Amino acid sequence: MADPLRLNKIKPATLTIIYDEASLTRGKQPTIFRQLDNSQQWQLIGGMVNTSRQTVSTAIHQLGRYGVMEMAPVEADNSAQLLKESLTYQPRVFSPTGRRVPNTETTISFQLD
Amino acid sequence: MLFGTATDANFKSYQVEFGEGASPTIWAAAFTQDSQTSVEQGELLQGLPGKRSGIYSLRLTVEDQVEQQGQAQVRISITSLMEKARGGDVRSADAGISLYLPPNSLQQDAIVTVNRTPSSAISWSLDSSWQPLDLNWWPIRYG
Repeated sequence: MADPLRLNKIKPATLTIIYDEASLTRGKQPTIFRQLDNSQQWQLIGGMVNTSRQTVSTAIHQLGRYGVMEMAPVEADNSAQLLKESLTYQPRVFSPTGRRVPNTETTISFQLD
Repeated sequence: MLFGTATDANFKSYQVEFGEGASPTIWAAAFTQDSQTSVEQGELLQGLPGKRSGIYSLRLTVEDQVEQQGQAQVRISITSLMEKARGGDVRSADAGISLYLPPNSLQQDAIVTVNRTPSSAISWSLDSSWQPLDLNWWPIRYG
């Protein structure tokens, strides 16, 4: 039986969390993590920060417990490759029927190897 | 389901109550008898059968052997059934967290809720390069 918390692989949800910039330590940025199976372990998910709206957003592939942490920005290695199957964007700005859904912005998400 | 922690060195029992709205004046017990077993990062309550969509508050009271009590309170938002084929938006009761589910993202029709837990209510690993962030935002209005 399929896991009810798991979402369609090609239709991830978009999680958006508001943060207060005054709570941030200088040089750090809000980042979304996911708690692993009700343990004390948290997995880095990432997230796109919108400083004007003070939000952090990310695509998620399963429901569960998510948290916002502050951490120093991570710089990718120059040799890092994009994992093609991880590339998604949500919400969809255009629908297959040609009818534009009321979204004027989309979030592109990907993972590096 | 409500997950959380109800423990004490001299634990006696815990009780979960619920009330309608963000600041209820009337509280009702969520189960008929106090639970005599402590819970650590586990299931405190199976659910609120028969509740319609809306904002509710849940109050956890833990009592020790000398009848001293500690309390914690959270707000939850119960939403109506989300249709798999339509998807939609779900927000936390304070509108600080939103979740957009595109059409056919869910595997079946389901009730999806977004509930905020303060960082103080969660056990954190201390030897990490990140720290939980307290989200002291001003609630905003959408729409």
